[in-house]
Amino acid sequence: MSTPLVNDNGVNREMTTDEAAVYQAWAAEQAALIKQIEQDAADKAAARAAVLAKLGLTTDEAAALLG
Amino acid sequence: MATPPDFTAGQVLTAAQMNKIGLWVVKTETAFSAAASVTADSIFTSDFTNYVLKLRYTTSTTGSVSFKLRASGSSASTNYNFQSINGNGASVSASGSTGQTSANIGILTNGSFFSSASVDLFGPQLAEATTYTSTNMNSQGAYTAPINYYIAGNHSTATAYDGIEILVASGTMTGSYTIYGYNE
Repeated sequence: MSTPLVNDNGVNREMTTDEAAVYQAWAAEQAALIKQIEQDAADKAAARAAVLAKLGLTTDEAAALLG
Repeated sequence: MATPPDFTAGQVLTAAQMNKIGLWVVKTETAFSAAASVTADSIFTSDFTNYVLKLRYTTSTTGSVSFKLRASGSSASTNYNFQSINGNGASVSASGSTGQTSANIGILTNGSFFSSASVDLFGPQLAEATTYTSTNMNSQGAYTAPINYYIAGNHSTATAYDGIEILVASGTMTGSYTIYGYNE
């Protein structure tokens, strides 16, 4: 993996080892966070679909009903 | 004498008139290319309380854009809290995050589709919490479906900061930014 670049006050340079470690830890944490958000959204959509199925409504019908 | 801003040719401006200029550039437009991170130090001073960051950018992949406040060249990585609302087509979604290691200000572009963020920062150089709002126009992989992303949040650590780091969560970002101080 190449060393990430930082634009340091207008000058592009490679991150130092310490800077790269901090950045990569942060990036990994952000990736996990996004994955969690996507999973939560998928879970919510599945729950909504299950309720609509019980009611026998399509997504469009539910949208029309709820405005 | 015309009253500013109705200047006339050759008019001599007084200090009082000049001191009413509303926005003052504290970081001139700076371009960056294929960078994972951008830093700007020694820009928040006692001259101004509030600032605005104008950011024009693309991201190479699907990483969103965040910031961290900096003091003496070191970025603070705790105590960021924010709430966002996202309008995408006919869908609106909202989410909140607390105790984060950075503050989100914009979504990915996933390619060469410019997006923009206008980030107001309130009191970063005060030894108090810093609050912020970001209005992000996002082109997530196409100009035909702009996304409206609005974030409000804070960094609750009561520390005086003099700089900012802008980061992309994956890949790199390319673009430019300018930072202004709001004259009081």
